[in-house]
This record gives sequence, C-alpha cells and structure tokens, in this order.
Amino acid sequence: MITTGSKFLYGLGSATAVAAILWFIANDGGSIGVVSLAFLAVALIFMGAIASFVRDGHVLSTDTAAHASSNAAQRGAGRSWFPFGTAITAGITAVGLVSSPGIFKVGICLLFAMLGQWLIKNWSDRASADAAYNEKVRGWVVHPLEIPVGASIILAIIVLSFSRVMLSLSKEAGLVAISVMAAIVLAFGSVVSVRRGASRRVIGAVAGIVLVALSGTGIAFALDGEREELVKAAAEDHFAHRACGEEAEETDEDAARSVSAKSSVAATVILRDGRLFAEMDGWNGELNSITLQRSNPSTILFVNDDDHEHRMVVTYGKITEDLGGGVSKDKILEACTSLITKGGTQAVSIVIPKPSFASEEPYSITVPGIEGASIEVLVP
Amino acid sequence: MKSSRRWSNIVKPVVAVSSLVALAGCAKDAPQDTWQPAGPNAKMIDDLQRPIFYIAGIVGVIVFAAVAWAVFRFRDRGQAMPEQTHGKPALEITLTVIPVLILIGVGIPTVGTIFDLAKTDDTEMTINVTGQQWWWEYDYPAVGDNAQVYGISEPIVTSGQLVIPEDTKVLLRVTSRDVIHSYWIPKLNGKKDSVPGRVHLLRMEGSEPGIYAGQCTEFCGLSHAYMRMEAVVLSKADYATWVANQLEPYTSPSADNALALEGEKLYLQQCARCHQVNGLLNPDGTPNVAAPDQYVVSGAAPNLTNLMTRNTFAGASWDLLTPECRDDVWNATSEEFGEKYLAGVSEDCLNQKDLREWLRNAPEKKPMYADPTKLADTGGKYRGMPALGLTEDQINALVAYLLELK
Amino acid sequence: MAIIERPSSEVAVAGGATVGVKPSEALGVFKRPAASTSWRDWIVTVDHKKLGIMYGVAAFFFFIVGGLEAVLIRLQLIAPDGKVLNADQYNQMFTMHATTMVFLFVMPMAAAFANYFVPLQIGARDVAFPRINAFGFWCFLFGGIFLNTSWFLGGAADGGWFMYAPNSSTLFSPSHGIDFWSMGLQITGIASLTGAINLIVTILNMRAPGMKMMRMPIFTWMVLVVQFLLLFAIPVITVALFLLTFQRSFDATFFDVASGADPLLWQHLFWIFGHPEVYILILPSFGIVSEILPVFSKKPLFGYPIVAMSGAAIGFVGWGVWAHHMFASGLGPVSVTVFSLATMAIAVPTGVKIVNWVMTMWGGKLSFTVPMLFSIALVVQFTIGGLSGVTHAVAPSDTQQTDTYYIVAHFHYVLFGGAIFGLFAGFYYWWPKMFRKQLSESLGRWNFWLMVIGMNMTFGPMHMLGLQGQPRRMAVWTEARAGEGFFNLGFWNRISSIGSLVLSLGVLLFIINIVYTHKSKKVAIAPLDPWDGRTLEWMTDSPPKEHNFDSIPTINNLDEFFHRKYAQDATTHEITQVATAEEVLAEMNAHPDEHIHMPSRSYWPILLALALPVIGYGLIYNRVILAVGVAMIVLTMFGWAMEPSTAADDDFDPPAPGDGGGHTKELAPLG
Repeated sequence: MITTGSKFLYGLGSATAVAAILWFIANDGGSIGVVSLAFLAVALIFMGAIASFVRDGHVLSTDTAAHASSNAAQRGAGRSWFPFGTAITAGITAVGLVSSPGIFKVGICLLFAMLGQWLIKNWSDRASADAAYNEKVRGWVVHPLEIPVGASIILAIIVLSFSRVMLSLSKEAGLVAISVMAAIVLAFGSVVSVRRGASRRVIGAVAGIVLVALSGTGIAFALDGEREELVKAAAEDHFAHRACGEEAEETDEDAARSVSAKSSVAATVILRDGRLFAEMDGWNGELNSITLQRSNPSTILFVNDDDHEHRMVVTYGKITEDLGGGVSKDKILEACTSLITKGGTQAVSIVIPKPSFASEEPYSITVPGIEGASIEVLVP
Repeated sequence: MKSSRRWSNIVKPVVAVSSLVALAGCAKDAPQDTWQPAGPNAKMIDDLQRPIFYIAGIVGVIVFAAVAWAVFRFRDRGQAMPEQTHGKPALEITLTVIPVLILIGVGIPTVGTIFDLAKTDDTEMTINVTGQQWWWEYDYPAVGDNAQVYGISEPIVTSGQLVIPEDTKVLLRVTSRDVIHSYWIPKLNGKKDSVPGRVHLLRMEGSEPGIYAGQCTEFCGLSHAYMRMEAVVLSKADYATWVANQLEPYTSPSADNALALEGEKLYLQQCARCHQVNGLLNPDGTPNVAAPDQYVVSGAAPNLTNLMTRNTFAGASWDLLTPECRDDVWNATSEEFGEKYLAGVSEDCLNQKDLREWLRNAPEKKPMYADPTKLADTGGKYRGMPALGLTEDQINALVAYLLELK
Repeated sequence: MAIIERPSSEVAVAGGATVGVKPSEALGVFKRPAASTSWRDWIVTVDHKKLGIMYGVAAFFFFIVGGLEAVLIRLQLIAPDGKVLNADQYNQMFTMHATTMVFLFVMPMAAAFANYFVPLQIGARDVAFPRINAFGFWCFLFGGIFLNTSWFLGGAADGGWFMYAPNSSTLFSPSHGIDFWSMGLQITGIASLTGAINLIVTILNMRAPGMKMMRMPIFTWMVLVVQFLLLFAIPVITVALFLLTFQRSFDATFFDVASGADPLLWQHLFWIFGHPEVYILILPSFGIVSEILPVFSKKPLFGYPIVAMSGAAIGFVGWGVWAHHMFASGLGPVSVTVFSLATMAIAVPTGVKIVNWVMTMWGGKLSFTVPMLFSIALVVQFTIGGLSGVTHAVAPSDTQQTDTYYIVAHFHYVLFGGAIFGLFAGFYYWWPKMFRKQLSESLGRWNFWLMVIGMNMTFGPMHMLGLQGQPRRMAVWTEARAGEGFFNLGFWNRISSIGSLVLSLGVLLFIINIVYTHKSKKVAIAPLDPWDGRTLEWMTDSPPKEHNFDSIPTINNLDEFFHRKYAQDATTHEITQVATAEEVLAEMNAHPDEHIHMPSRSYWPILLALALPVIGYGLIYNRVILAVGVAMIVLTMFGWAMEPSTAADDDFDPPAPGDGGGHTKELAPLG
C-alpha cells in the first residue's frame, strides 16, 4: 500500500531523478550538480520506501482492516483520464519545444491546466465520502476560474472563426451570411426561451455542434485567405499610406473609410464633363481658385461625375524633415482620395502648414489623367 | 377695499414685469446688449423675439394671477370637504388648445426668420473667420467681389477686430483651428459656432458706423473668458481708405528712429517665428515667413501687419488705446467715427501699461497653457504666447517698433 | 468570515465501523450575512427602504458638495476680474458643479424617493430585483466618490458638463480630470440603468391586486416614465463616454478633426442623452408635487389621466428635441426649423401640467404646510422657467440667448426652482413616513422663504445678465463690457452672488431642521397619517416594516387610502370621514399574510460595485490595477450568480449570543 507521505517522497525523488538526467544532458555530464541530484533522488526514494513500510508512522494506517474500509481507500479505484491527458499535453509541450514557441506556450498552458485539474480532483475526492458532495466542493473552488476562462475561450473561437468567414466572403455574400447567422441565433434563442422544459443536454449538444461547425468553417475560410480587395489593399499598404499616383489601383467606391465630416466642408471639388471646379459655401458659382486658412483642418470633398475612375490629389508644398544626424529630406505634402467611380464622393482632410506665398510651387488640386484639370489653392 | 387690494396683487407684477421689459429695451449702455440691434440681421431677430417676450410675460402674469387667486380664495377657512372631482374635459381641452394656438402663432414667423437668416445668395462680401485658443483671425480673400468691388487686391489677414463696410451684406465663413468656439456680435447677429473641420456661414451687416463688442460664447478651454472680439462698421468711403492702408507695402522704421530699428531686429529674433508681418525681410534679404505651426498647438499666431490700426490685442482682451482715447472712439457719433477709428493708435494714445505687461509675461496676464515645463502633452508646442524673458530695454525697443506698424 | 470551512469528519475507532463524513451545507467562500441592526446591515441590505435612505443621504452629501462649488463660482463673479479662483479652477468648478448636481444629486435623489415609495405606493413588498437594486446604489456611490477623487489627483474635469469634443481630448485637457469624469459617469450610469430596469419591472408586474395602471399614484406614473427615459438615454451617453475614454486612453480618433472626424458627432450623442435627461430630472418632482397638491387641497389631482398621459407624451416628444441645444452649432435651416417646432410642441404637455396643478388647487381647501409651500413655489418658478424656455425654442432668438446667463437663469428656474423645490417638498412631505418624526414646520417656513428669496435673487438677475450679453462659463467678466445704468452687469452680478449666500442659508436651515427635529425632545412622534394622505404609502406603519404591509391591500380606487377613510353621502354628496388611519391599518393588520418571504442580504452587490472604480483607476494609472479590477469583477459576478436569491435556512452566521434567538429569512410575524 502506497501511503500519502511515501507518494510525496517518491514523486519528489522521481522529479529529482529527471532533473539529474536533464542536467546531465544539458551540461555534458560529469558535474557536481548531477552527482548531488542523483544522490538526492536516491535518498528521497529510499525515504519513500521507509514511509511505505511504516505507513507514514500513522497509527490508524497500521490498522489495515480499518484502512481498507476507509473512505479514502474506496475512492480512486475508478479510471482516471488525467495521466493520459497529462501525457498528451506533455507531448504537445515537447513537440512545441522542438518546433515552434507558439505550440510550446500552448502546451505549457494545457499542461498547467491539466495538472491543476488533477490536483483539485484528487483534493476534492477526499473531501467526504459523498461523491456528489465532492463534486460540489470541486465546483466551489474551480468554477470561478473555469467558467470565465472557458467562456472567453469559446468567445475567442467564435470571434476568430466568424471574423475569418466575414473577411473571406465578398461584401454581398457577407451581408447574406450575417443576416442568416443573426436569424439563426435569434430563432435558437427564442426556442430556448419559450421551451423552458428543453433538456439542457440537447441545448448543449446543439450549441456544441454549432461551435464545432463554426470553428471548422472558420479554419477552412482562414486557409482560403481574405477576399481579393483586402489582399490587394494590404499589398498596396492602403491603410498606412495612400499612393497618389495613377499606378496604384486600389479602389474604394464608397468613399472615405473614416467617420468623416461631409457636410459644411471647406470646399467641394467636382469633376464633370472633363472640367474640374470647386464649390464653396458662401461663394456663388463655380470657382477655379479657392482660399483655405493656414494650419487649419480643412475637409475637401471630391465628387466624380466623370465616366471613368479618378482620384483627386491636393498638393500643398513641401516640408523638410529632419531625419537626425544632420540628415534631412524634402517631403512633398500631398493628399489624395482613392480612385472614385462615377457618382462617388470622398473626403480628404488636410492641414496646410505654410502660406502659399512662401512656397516655390503653387498649391493645387489636380486629377491625374485629366489634362489641365487644376484648381489653384491660395493660403494667405 | 378688499377687491382693490386683490387687484393690486395682479397689477403690481404686471407693472413690474412690463417695466422691466421696457427698461431692458431702453438701456443704451451695455455693449453686448441683445436687445439693441444695429443691423438688419439682429433687427430681424429682435422683431421676432420682442413680441414673444411680451406674450410670455402675459401668459406668466395670467398663471401667477390664477395661482395667487387660488391661494387667496381657497385657503382653508373651515369650509366643507370639496367635491372629489377628477376634472372637466371641456375645460381641459380648452386650456390645451389655447397654448397650441399661441405656439402656432409663434411658430410661423419663427420658421420665416430661420430661413431669412440662412440666406446666402445675396452676399456682397465674404470673409473667412477662424477661431483658435483664444483669439479670432479674419482673412479677406482677394477674389470675386472682394477684389473687384472693394479693392482687396491682396489677401488681408488681421485679428481682434472685424472691419466691414456699412450697409453691406457680409458673409462670414466661420471655422476653427482647434476646439469649438462661437462667433457672436450681439448687435449685428446671433451667434454661430466655429467648429474645426466645418465651415459655417454667418450673415453680418451693420447699418451704422461704429464699434460693436462680442465675445466667444462656446466654452473653449482655459482662457475662454479672454476670447473677445469687436466688429467695426465703416462707411464705404472710410472702408476704402482702410483697405488701401492695409495693402500698403511694408516699410522699415526710418533711420532716425533708432529705437524702433532696434525693435525690428529684436522682433525678427524673438517674435517672427510665430507672428507674421507681411513684407518684413530677414537680415539676408529673403521675405520673413513665420512658422507658428512649429511652436503653437493651433498652428497660428496673430498676423501683426498694421497692428496699430486695430485698437486691441491679445484676443481683444486688452485695448491698445488708453481708456480716454478708447472712449473717444467708442462714443463717437456715426459721422465722426470713421475718422477717429482710422487714426489708429498714436504714441500718445498707446495703452503702454497693458502692452508692456503683456510683453513682459503674457501667460501671467492671460491664462494660457504656456508653461515651458509642461509641454510634454502638446508635443512641445505652446498653446499661447509664452513669457519671453525680455529686458525692459528690449520691451522699450519692441514697443517703439510695434508703434510703427500702422 | 471563514474562507473555507472543511466539514467536520468523524472517524470511528472502535468496532471497525466507520461513520461517514457528513457533508455540511455551510461550506462557502463567505457566509451569507444575516439580518442585524448594526451598521453592517446597511452594507449588505437589499431592502428598498434602506437603499432609498442611503440614496438620499449620499445624494444630499453631493448636493452640499455641488452647492459649495456653486457658491465659489458666485463668489468669483461677485466683482469684475475675480480673484477667488484662477481660470483653471473655475473651469473645473463649473464642470463639477453641473456634473454633481445632475448626476450625483437630482438623479439619485429622485432614485431615493422612487426606491422608497414606489413599492409602497403600489402595494409591493420590495422591488423586483433587490440585489440589483443594492448594486445600483453602490455603483452610484462609488462612481460619485471616484469622480470626486479627481480633485485630489491633479484636478477635476475642466471641459464643462457637456464636454464638447475636441476640447475634451488629451491635447486640450492634459490632466486626468476628464478620464475620471468619463469613467465615473459610466459607473453611475450603470446605477441608473439597472435602477430603471428594476423599477419598470416592479411597476409593471408587482402592483397590488386591483391596482390598474390608471389607479397608480401619479408619482409612480412619473417614475415609470422617467425609468423608460433612462432606459433609452443612458446607453447613448454610455456609448459617447466609451468613445471618449477610448479617445483619451487609447488614442482613438473618433473626434479628431485632422483624421476626418466631425466633432458634432459628440454633440448629437450627448444631447440625445442630454435632453431626455432634463425630463429625467424634472418629472420625479412633477410627480411629487402632483401628490402633494391634492393632499393639501383635499381634492384629487385635477385631470389625473391627462397629467399621466402628458408625462408620457413628454417622455416621447423629449426624444425629438435634442438639437435645440445646438441651434448655434451650424445645423442648417431645415434641421433648425424641425427642432424649433418640436421644442415648442413639448411646451404643450408641460403647460398642461401647470394648468392641472392650478385647477387642483382651484375650489379646494388649501392648507399651507411646508410641503405645500414648496409645491406652490415649484408651480410658479417652473412657469417662469418654462416661459423663458419658450423664448429660446424660437431658434433665431436662441442664437442671441444661448450660452449666455439667460440660459443659466432658465434652467436654474426649471431645475432649482422646479426639480429641487419638488425634492424639498418631498422631504417635508414624506419625512414622517421615513423617520417617524415630522420636520419642524416653523423652521421649515424659514427654510422655505429663505430658499425662495435666495433662489429668485440668485437666478432672477441672470435673465438680465444674459440679455445684456454676459456669456456663461467665463472665469471673469470685465468692467469694459459691463455697461452702466440700471442693467449694468456689476450690480446684478453682485445681487446674484449675495442671493446664492441667502440660498445656502436656506439649505443650511434644512439641515438644522433635521438635527433639531431628531434631537429635540419637544418634537413628538408624528401621527400615523399626519397630512391626511391619499395613497397607499400612508396605509402602513411609519416607518414601514421590512415587508411593508402585513397584508397586501386590494385596490378599488385611485387614491385608495382616501376612499377607505372617507365616504360620500349618496344623497347630499357630502363627504364625511368614516374611519381614521389607525382604524384602516388595524383592519388590514387583522388578517396578515402568511409566509412572507423577503429577499436575503448579500455581500456581492457592494463587492461587485467596488470593482468598477478599481478598473477606472487601473485605466488611468496602471494596468496591473486594471487586471485586479477585472479579476474582482469576474469573481464577484461568479459568486453572485452562484448565490441563490433566497438563502437556505442554515446558510447564515449563527445568531450572535443574546441577540434574541435565531434570525430567519422569514421576518413577518406569522398569523
């Protein structure tokens, strides 16, 4: 009979033995550390054997008859999945160690979770003779951690899978997908709330199947990649920088991505019948010269009434950037919209730091590809 | 006896309220009085609000009288328990319909006025007005009618005082460089917020030459109380003179004014980083261009070209004129006003005290986040004018130079 | 507070037989608190009356804080170029004055009355979700304290209570004040939101048998409308505050103009909340005076259904008028017209209420007790505020008046002359119900007159100041713009400042009155029905037992209590008293209900609420504190979720020795 005390000593001894082997491998053998650890391991295992023999020196435990019928002895006879689970997670950790740090970290987390669960399970198994009560005790201790962590993992799976799906589908299909999804969630929720008697097991099973299906779809779509526009936009570094030349191709028919001010703007620039002109609140008629205030956030709205895709480019001088170490670089200040299809509008917000009379090149608004389309920008 | 006292209960408040209303209408001396329109836009508002105030007053008096009567008549004098009535539908409907009718009567002219005040197609002159912490910039674009009718052949940039010609439909394009401000000259029109990123239109028209006070009315941070403005209305002839003066090319102080020449040098060292004086040349002969965007959060500082034509400084918080000279301009009759205003600030009239205090330590005079030790949050930029640490001699020279800017 | 109590195990030694370990139900992280009379009970209570009183005390504390801020503001403006405060302090002062008065005084004080009296008025034993009720209170208290700690941690918020973007960004307000403000208000917002849901469910589901909607007391009606307003308004401000927190703490650009944002987004969000908020502040007081005027006029409320429905109408139309706070912000003439007309329209249901109050007094038998005086003052002062409101419903006129002292005068007449006077009426009216003693009427009169004089002296002159063009929110005003003559700003600013001191004196007298009433032996215990009340809350003991009513009454009439006391002679139509309050009560108590189950006390509400400011500090100062706060939230929510609403019988601390035997959750004397 292996008693509690001896188990502790055996365990410690085994761990020390493992440590000794690891030390041996890590330091190419022959160091004082290996000797000490090996000695310690042997000593601990020896002490464990003694403890086994004297049954931890516990009076009651020498009473084999009473012990055999005690509650602690009744429990633990059942099968436990924990050694298996621990072995698996340890395997994952080992694989991670040689392959990738990501898997290693996951493995470590799983290993700790598994060991923690094992510990708690063993502890709670000894709380009383009543298995149901023991289960409750276990709940008291670990549910506060288990439930939120489990919930966040499930949430993360849902969010990640769903977002992969949405990023992969085209905009139109995405609209349908989200509607269907919302309808299903709503219908399921209504059924559950109306049919109070529905078995928890059934509901859980349905939710579980949906979760598995969702994560499967998510993985499938993630492997498939994001939709074409997004891939292209990312390749062109669309979000960080909008190239203003003709060559960049990304389009955004529906105008600015930001929550942008589109009313009471500083100026509206319109391309119509090959002519570029501006309209400004407070000035009557079409303008080919606009006055903007210096150092002032000005929003310019571009309206493309031409049949082809066009972009508007605002050029407003250059600044000299200090790159440090006495090196400086001239940077042309320009801002532009994306390519806009017919009827599209997009706003650009700019802050012009210098007056136009202080600049060698005049400030202007142009549309690449349209000859002579230019609006003069004056900054007093 | 009793009934006469009862009557006096009712009459007294009527007299009090109406006399207050009348007095409010007659007070001639508050510069931002909202009940003294001096232009057609403000007049439109006044014509609308006056009857509404009277109606409100009358309704109020009726309610007070009813309450007073109920309190007096139905107090507990041992009468029997009143009838437990839950209402009289006919009476209730009547008393609901009456306010509805009154409000319809008020609503119709309101709608008309709203649209009249939003009209922009009759504009004769357009001026950009830009608010920032804590002053206003006016720039007069040199295009369209501005150039053709009013002779503004080059853009004019000023601050502190908006100058407009008499009986001219001016349209202000109001915007802001940093936070939300609000432009308000009570005697000329209601207020309009200046919102960064947006351009709002405000009609302005003065029918009598004179100077009209205003104040920023949207809370705009620390020094909100010191963000004032003035609007100056000039006759058309005087306005032409003013424009011509503004457009005159810059000349350095004459050689016999050594102090001012020294001031110009000092100005280039100390002030020209942020403050523009059009036409001022650097020592190497290139035109001086201020770069306030590198030093100030809002990216602008008042343009000081022709400073001494303006009468005020530091967001119109202080006068450039001594109190006597100021009164002389402010109280001038509409005929004399133009001449007195165009005289600008002479050496005798200069308000040396406030200007020198300002140059000595501006943030002490007007609260600004201009503490050089606390610039980390603003990327090293000031929010207003910092203390420059000038010596008294330097201040003398600067004042002498600034006096030359007319 | 044992952490884990291991069940005692017995192992038999003799005879080889083992007695099994007996599992104990007492195992738990905390033991459930039991009823007691000590201060601890106030912390764990879920009783709506105790929570109501705590709401009241805390709100009144914040009223004094906000009042002191107001007095400092007025002292600063008593003369030109005031030196009492510097510009920065002044900006913080008016920001926090408004924030405190709106969010930490009037709203929670209305919640105090609603909490205490709605269950009583509808004949319920408690609210529908008692622990959530407690949670709401603690959120309000901790949120309010959190907000005010900013004073000691580098300065309070300085952007005005409206906190317009972009002035609220870190660039323009570098101190942490606005962080405290935005997060503090999110926390108090939880209080309002949970409270709203709680009271709506309570009112809709827990009315006594026979109490149809149109038999509900008008105060309960107004509370119901307010809770619906809160239910829809608080999420809007929460979203706005959330955006602001992200803008300030995580460099989001929701209001960053250079990134293309429109600062008016904030204004719309704020005022979609902000205007219904005005009705949230005023309607509870309307409810209170609609209770008081009938009682002291000895007549039912004139046009009860119309008053109730006009309250609901205000609740609906109140959503369509928010942009009248933005007439000057450049909306364009069409929007301005729509909102201008909608604003005029809302004057109608408001006017209806005034008419009905006057008509309630008309033909009555008026006794001028202090609560009645406050109510009459509300009618008069609110009328002034309402009429000045109509003048700036007219949009062009508003462009001259908005952001001037005229507006300050207007809303103080509405909110001080209206809402706060209503609350004071409520204090005096319901004091004997809550605390057994009636506040001194003579001191009360002094209190009333000083407050009326002070209030009109403070805010009356502001009409003139505003029309003379003095803008709001200015740290100083200048002699140069003051003018001369009768309407000069100097004189009227001085009057207004002196008025604020008179007003403070009035409020001080109220506090003195409380102390006097409860300390003096001369003030006797109030009778059961001191005012000859009409509604259910007077049909039980003062103060009511924990379970409110020994037997739940069946309702046959609007003003049920009145109809149990008085009867009308069929032929003469004369109304005579047929029973005293004591007799009515005795008859009810003769057949008490059996097995009255009251909700059990709980630690979790206060613990969960405590976690919220921890998260706030964490976001401002240190992410480690943030993690602690999140952990607290998770664990306390878990503990709460696992706790049954009614505790098992043995899940209590053992009764303290000499405490008169065991407590159980059944508190009612059983029949």
